[in-house]
Amino acid sequence: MRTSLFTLLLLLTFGTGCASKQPVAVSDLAQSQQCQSPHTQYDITVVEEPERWDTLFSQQFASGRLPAPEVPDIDLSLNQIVIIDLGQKSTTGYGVARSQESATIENGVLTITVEITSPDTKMMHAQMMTHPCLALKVPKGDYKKISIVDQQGLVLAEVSVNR
Amino acid sequence: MNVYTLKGYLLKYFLMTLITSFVLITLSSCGGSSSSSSDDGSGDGDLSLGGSLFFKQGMTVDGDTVEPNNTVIDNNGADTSKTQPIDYPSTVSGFLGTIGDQSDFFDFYKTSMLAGQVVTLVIADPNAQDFDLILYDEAQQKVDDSVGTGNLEQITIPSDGVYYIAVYGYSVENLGDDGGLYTLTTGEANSLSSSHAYQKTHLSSSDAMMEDEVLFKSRPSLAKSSSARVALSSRLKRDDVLSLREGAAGIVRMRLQRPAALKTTQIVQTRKAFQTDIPDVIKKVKALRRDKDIDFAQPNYIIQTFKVPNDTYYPLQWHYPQIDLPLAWELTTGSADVIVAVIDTGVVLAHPDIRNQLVPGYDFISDTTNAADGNGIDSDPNDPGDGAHAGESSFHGTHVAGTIAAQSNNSFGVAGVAWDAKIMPIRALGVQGGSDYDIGQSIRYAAGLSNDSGTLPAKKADIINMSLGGSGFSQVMQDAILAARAAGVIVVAAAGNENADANNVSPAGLTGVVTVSAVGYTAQKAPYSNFGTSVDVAAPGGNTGQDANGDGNPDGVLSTLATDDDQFVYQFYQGTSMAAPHIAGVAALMKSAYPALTPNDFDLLLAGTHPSSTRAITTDIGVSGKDDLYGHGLINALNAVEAARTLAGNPQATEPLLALQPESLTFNTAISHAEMTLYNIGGGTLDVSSISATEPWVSINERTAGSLTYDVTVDQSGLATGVYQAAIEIASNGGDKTVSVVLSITDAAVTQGDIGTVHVLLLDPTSFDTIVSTKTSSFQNYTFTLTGVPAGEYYLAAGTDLNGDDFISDDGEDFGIYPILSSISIIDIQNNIDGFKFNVEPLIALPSTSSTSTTTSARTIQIRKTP
Repeated sequence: MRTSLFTLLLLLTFGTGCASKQPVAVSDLAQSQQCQSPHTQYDITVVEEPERWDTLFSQQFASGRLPAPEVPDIDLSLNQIVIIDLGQKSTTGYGVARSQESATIENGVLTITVEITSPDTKMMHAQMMTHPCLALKVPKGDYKKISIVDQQGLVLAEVSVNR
Repeated sequence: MNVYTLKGYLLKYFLMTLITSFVLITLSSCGGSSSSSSDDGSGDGDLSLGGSLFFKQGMTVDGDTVEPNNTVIDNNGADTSKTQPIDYPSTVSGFLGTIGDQSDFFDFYKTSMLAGQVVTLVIADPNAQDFDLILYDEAQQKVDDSVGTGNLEQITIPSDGVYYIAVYGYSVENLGDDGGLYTLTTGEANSLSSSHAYQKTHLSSSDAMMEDEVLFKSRPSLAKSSSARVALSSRLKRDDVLSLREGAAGIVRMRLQRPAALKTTQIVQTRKAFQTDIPDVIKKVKALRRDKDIDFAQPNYIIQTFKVPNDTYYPLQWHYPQIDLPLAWELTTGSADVIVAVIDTGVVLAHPDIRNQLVPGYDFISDTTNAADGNGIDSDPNDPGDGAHAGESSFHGTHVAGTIAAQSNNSFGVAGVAWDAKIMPIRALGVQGGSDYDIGQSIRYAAGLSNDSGTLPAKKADIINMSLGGSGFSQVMQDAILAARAAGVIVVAAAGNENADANNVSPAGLTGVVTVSAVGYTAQKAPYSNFGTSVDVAAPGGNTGQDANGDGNPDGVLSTLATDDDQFVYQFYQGTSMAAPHIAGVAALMKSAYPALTPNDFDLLLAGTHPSSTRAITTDIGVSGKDDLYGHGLINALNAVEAARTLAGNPQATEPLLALQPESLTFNTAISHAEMTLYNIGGGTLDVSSISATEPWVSINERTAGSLTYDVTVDQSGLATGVYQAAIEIASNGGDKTVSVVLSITDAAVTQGDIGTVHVLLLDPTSFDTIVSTKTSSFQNYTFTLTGVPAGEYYLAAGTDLNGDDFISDDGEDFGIYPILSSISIIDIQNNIDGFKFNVEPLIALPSTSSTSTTTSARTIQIRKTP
């Protein structure tokens, strides 16, 4: 009984908020054009544990760079890390970055808009293998799913967030 | 050298003397052939003869020799004040051995020298003496030594500074030798140490060797008998020998007691000013070499098989040992005359491991948006970053350039393939990629062909690297490539990363391009690499999905890089982009060994069908012969450089190439004539279009037309005391050369330097007996007067006697005959006469190239200093 009253109060307080888009302050944590991840195409990874971030950072973002970069600090009690991985590419010219619109929460879905760059196939390109990935610092909040969409609104990937 | 002419001359006269001596005896004396011996010898006559002696600058004498008339300088090295200062360059005539009732083991000299200059010791009688050379720095720390057993020791100065040079009488101290003569010179580097004879006898404690092992072989006749070998072994097995073990080919391995094991009682030595100990293993080699039953003996050298640069991250660059670069680097590390153009995203010009490796380049990105540097084509090839967003830039050109020629062996960063080559950075790839047109212009510029910039590079590139590509056939690129190739440029391209047929890619599939596929650490085709009939050769491109070498890093190619936030870093990248610059770098090493290397030469060498060298410059991996994955195989840098050296030695010579001897000429008051010879060391016919001197006091005359031998004479008349310089300029169809000429005029009354006491003699022209003698020294400014001279014909000679054997013409002493050793002449004395000027020079018995010993015939006639 108490729980349902509590829930009712919550709904009353935040109900109107949930019905409209809430902006969320998402920021860049790390990026690389040489991600050493096993993914060969689009992938989203959510990271919540500090040890897992340390490992992933050194494996995917720092690997191959000398001197090795330091793991960026992040407070994982308030945030989580969302890694967007484009997979392996056969030339330069690819990239993923947050677009100008900020991320939003609506109906329990956190939507992050990114800009995907691909090389112009009519031009010549450097013949180097690349693997772009981007790690975002995302505040924890009341959402159950994270959705990555491109600048056209096309959903690139989605991931459920455990609560 | 003049000495040999003298020997020939004297031998001839010795024979004549034998024949005519009978005649002389019967004819009896007509005065002068025998007279009372007086040390400062006036003769029976009443004439006088005067003159002065000259000697080359830098000649000096050891301060402690047997010559009793010389001023003594204590150079025994008991402390730093007991060292004899000498100038640079110097020629010191010296003696070690018994002097009176003392034994002189050491002569220490002190001088300033520069890196690369050499100290050379010539031992006059190496069969009797074993002298050694030791070098100390200003703090008296031993720097190097040359402790061999032949007639030559040499040390190269490692760095600019003040040095102490010790000539050590090893045989005097250790073998009861009562001593002998030597000549010590300091001077510019020479080729004496590259002779086979020197290598056979040379020893140095700075060579890496086992400290307790010696290898030897017994002489052939003894080696045949096993009982004789056993007897030899038991004779050689002394207290300091642990074991003797005979191996293959009769080589015996002698194990010595470790030096520490022998020191049962440690005697604390009083601290010597200079440590002169020679390692036991070297002493043992010396002893074995003296042994009549031993054919040869040597330390067991620890051979360093390859050159390792000291760059911090070099150990992670597995892709260089994979293609035998460390072995190739033993032969060459490239040349600053070789330029590799990198057509790419540009280069971060300020990267500390690249910035000293560059020549000017150009930015041919014509579209401003693509260029992202505010304008279209411009002269700045700096890479501003090609990323669509901050942090995404690849700085790909910097990585490629670093593989080709990162500054190597500079104690930080990474190494490149061709350490000394130059990079011409050309920007053609922008944020959107590269257009055919821009790349075509880049190729033309690099090849020194007309292009949209309206400029040409000061020196065109020798090699172009294109680690770029796109699908389809590009006529624009094909035309530019063929033009560059016709201009002599080797064009290298990445095969592409689609794991597909490279034929469908430009420039990989175009004609005239060396197309490169990629392998990983395990020398297998990288998963991404294109393949097909266009592929000519394979090189390491990396496979970052693996860490097959277990070094904790992905198996990429490690090279220089920058970041969008202006850091200078290093990164493992993978791609056929990384493979191509290995080939471009190897081509640069080949070019430095053989500058005339053409694109056609390179193709033929890859295929193993070059007429001048069929050496395989690749390792044939994959299917035997040329295959679609690896082309002719994985490049092998060592074989590639050796093939280039073969081509350099056997030039497809149609072009003349001018060489000459000597490269510089020095004249002085006594020497006014020299001979200069031109040579054609190429092919065809050498045609000298002009040869002239820049000063009127030099004249040049060709002996006979077309002989290429020239007499060069200087005319001192009217020139005051001083040093004069001129040049002889030669122009020919084999190149141009300049010969420097120096004329040094000293005041006749003053001679620089001090070579100690010189005995001046008048000699009977047939018997070479001394008739009248006198002495001179620096106190008389080397002027002399001979008195009591009987009228008659004589040779006029002068020389030192440092070993007290009463002869002035020993090897290691200074000697001369009027007017010049190479052309002596008889003087006819009928009146008092003055003004006889002539040179004395050191008699240095340089190593003979002939196998037969010349010591028995060396001094059949000796000039005795006393009548």
